[in-house]
Amino acid sequence: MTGKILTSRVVPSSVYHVLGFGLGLRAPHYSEILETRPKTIDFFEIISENFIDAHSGYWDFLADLRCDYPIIMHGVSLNIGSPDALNFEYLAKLKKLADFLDVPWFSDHLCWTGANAHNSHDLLPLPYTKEMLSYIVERVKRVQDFVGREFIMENPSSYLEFAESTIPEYEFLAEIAERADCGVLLDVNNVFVSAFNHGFDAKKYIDTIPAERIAQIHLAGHSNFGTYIIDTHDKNVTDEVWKLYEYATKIKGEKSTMIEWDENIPEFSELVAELKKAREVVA
Amino acid sequence: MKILENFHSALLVNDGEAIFSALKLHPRLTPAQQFAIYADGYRIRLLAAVRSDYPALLEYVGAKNFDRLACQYIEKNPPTNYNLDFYPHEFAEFLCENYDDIFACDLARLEGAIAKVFMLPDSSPFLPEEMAKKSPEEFGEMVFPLRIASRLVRFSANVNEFLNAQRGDNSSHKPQATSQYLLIYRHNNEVQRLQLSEAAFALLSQLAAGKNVANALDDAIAQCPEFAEEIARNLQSWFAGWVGGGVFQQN
Repeated sequence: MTGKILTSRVVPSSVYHVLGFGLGLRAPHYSEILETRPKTIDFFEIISENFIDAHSGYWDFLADLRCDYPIIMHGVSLNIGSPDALNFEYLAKLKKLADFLDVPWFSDHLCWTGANAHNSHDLLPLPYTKEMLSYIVERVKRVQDFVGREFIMENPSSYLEFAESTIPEYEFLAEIAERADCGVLLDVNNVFVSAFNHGFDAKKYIDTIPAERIAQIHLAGHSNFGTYIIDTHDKNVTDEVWKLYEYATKIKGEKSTMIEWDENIPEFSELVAELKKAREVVA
Repeated sequence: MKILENFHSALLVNDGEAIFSALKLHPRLTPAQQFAIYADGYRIRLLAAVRSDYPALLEYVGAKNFDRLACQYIEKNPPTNYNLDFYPHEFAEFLCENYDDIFACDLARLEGAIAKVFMLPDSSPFLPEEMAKKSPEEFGEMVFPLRIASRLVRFSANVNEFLNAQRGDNSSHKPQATSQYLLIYRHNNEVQRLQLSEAAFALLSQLAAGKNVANALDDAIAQCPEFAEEIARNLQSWFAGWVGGGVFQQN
C-alpha cells in the first residue's frame, strides 16, 4: 500500500452525535451480551486490533451486535507520532472494518508505539514541540482522509515528560484538533493520572479542550502507587475521577461516555453498575 | 525525532541511561524510575502475550523455566507487528533451539501451530456436494488444497493427548516418545486437531504441495511402499472424512 489519499471524509467536522453510555466490548462478556442484548448499554467500543486480523466468526459476531448497537473503533497501534512512516496496510484494515461496521468515528492515542519498524505495544509519550505538532497534524489529516471517517484523538496517560517539550499537552491536543480538523476523545481518567504524575491542573486541561471537538469521553480505573499513578484499567473509577467527569460534563455538555476495563475484568453486571454511575452524574 | 529513536533503543535494551538527560526533572521520581515504568511494562506485556499462547507448555516446563525462556525470547525478538497476537508465534522455534527437551519442543510447536492457525486468513471449504458432482475419472485429476488456516505437523511425542489432558478432558497423559501426525486447521471458526496415520499424513502432505490426487498417491507410496495397502483400503473413507470435515478449501 502507499500513502496515496484514496477517499474523502464523509462526515462533516465538529458534529458528534451523542450516543449515550457505552462499554468496552471484551471477550469474557461476548456470550452474555449476545444472549441478553442489554438495553442499558447504548453503544459498544471495540479495540480495533482485536478484530482487524480476526477470522470471519468475529466479524459475524460484530455484525450481529451491530444490528442492535452502534459500535465505535478504538485503536492502539496507529503510531501517529512515530518517526516511522504511517502503516497503510494497517490503515487499510482499519478502513475495511470501519466501513463494515459503519462506525461514526474511530479513535487512537496522542502517542507513538514504536520506531525503526519495532513495536513496543505501549502508548509512549511524545515531546510536545512545534515541530512535533506540525508533524502530527499532517499525519492525522492523511489518516482521516485515507479512512474516510472522522478521527478522534485520545489524550494519553504518561509517566515521564521530555525536557524539550515547550507546549502543555492540553494546548498541544487542542491545537491538533483545530489544525487537523479532528475530534478529541477526552479520557478523564488519563487527565487525572497525568495531572497527578506531572503536577498540572486537571480542570485547566479540560477547560482548554474545545467542547465542540470532544466526541467522546473515556472513564477507567487506575492504580495509585503513592509517588505516581498508572492507568491500569483494572478497577472501578475512583471518586476523584467521577468528580472530574462531573466537572467535564458540566462545562462541556453531555458527551458519549464509556467505561474501559481491561484487566481483572469483572462480571458484566458490575460494568453495567459502573455505567449507571456515569448516567447519574450527568442526570 | 532522534529522541524517540533513542528512547526506543533504550527500551529494547532495558537501559535508559542514554536518554535520562532528555527527561524533564520530576519532583518525586528519578529518571530511572520513570523509564522503568515503560521498560518494565514493555516486558510484562510481552511475557503475558507469550504465556497466553502456550498454557500447556507453561505447565509442563514450570513457570520459572517458561519465564526465563520467554524473557530471553523477548530480549532477542522485539515485536515488529502492530498486532500483539502475532508476537508469540515464533516462540516455539526459539524454544526448540534453546531448550533441550524434545517433549517441550513438540508441545511448543503444537501450541504455536494452534495460535498461528487461529490467526491465519479465512478460506471457504470444499463441500461434500461439490465432491458428489465429480466422476471417478475426474477424481484423479483433482487438486485438494488445504484450508489457508492449516498446518500439517509431525511430532515425536504424544503432545496431542497431553494437550487434551491439560485442557481438561479428565484424562492423564504422561509424556512419552511416539510418532504423532496432526493436521491443525480452522473450520467453522474453531481450530481442529485431526490425528492422522503416517500414511494419511504423507498423502495430505503431497496434496498440500499442490499435486493432483493421482500424483499425490504415486508420490506418497513412492515415499514409503508400505503405505500402499493402507491408502488403498482407506482412501474413500479418508476423503469422505476430510471433505466432510472441511479440511480442503475451494479451488
